Amino acid sequence: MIRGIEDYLDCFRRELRGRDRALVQDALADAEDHLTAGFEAERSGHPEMSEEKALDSVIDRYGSPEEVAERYRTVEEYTVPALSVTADRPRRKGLGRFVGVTGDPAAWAAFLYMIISLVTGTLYFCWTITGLSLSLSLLILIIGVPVAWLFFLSFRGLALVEGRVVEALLGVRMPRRAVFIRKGTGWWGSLKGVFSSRSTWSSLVYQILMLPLGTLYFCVFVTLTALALSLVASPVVERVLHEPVIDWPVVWWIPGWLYPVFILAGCVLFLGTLHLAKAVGRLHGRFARAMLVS
Amino acid sequence: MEASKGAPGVLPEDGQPPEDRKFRRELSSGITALALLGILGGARTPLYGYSIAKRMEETGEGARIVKHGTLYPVLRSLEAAGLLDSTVEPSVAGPPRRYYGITDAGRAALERWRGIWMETAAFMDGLIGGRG
Repeated sequence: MIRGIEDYLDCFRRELRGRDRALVQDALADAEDHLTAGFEAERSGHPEMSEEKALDSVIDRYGSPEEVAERYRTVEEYTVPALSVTADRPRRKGLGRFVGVTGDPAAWAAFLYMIISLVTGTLYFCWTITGLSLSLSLLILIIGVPVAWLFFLSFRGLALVEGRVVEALLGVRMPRRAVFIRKGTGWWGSLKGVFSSRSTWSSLVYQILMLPLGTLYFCVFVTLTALALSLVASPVVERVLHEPVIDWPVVWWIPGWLYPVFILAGCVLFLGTLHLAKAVGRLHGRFARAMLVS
Repeated sequence: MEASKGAPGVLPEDGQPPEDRKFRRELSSGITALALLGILGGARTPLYGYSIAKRMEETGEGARIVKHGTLYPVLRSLEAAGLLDSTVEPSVAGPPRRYYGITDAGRAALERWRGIWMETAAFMDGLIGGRG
């Protein structure tokens, strides 16, 4: 017997137990948003209707927690994150697996994530630090509280955006909508909700950590890629442009018999870089889930 | 919302035998995607979840056949398949809303699925004597 929206959400949460946390967050936000809007529409459309009846009618049309949870489960099975389809590919072994990374979209997407993380990390960091400093310094004035509230809301928005980037490029299921902010609790309730939520603070820490992490990812992957490319290009530069690639501390021309070794080493290094990007992407995906999913 | 916390409410018994409920559920899982494409294909502007549910109700016994709660995961899966696209817009009444619109691929799928539905409906009518 369901006695209200809160009760419905509790039952729904129980039905979704054991499912992906990002899916649960989305499903609960969908339900709360819809039931709240439906209840208000019902009350304004039929003022003579009692609250219980209005609620019953809305919940009845939304579907039982069991039925709706079942639908989320089944639909989610065939709505996989964009890049996780690669998990279904036949697994190759040995050399084939090592070289095959060039045809793996997940590896290239993770590599792209590592490169752009310098920009996104810097943006998140600057916005977060600006928001925190402004909020703290303005707290002595009356406008400090709404300014802080707005900044904290924006941190949640950024967390959602980063979640979408992580899902698209790292193939990890992340929330597709923001944590629901309850209406009708007044500004104080809403403020308390934002500040007391674990996800607000963990996403704030994540956004601050993205600067060092983004810088590290960018430096490591740009260095490795540049090194790999230079190894491959060295013989070409020496043969075509007649310029020594190594001219310090002494000028050293690469002997002809070493050309294949250089090219091979460059290719191996680049393939290794793609593997590393994929592995780091997987770890970063886990970290992002732990920090950005409530 | 105060009412959501403590308002006593009881899900009404719909008086349906369990096998009817199960059959409706199975049927609904097959037609929700087509219903959503149909609604969004006929809408002049993008719609958000609740407004789609309202449109569905305007067409007869919408909520009896397709429960509103089952629309959201299907909307996301259609978007993931490229048949819908969505934008988030702020709402004066609460949290931002995600508005869904149909894509060209969605319109093409709607045309094909409409044909499949017609065939299915004709087959079932012939089999069980529907609109005889």
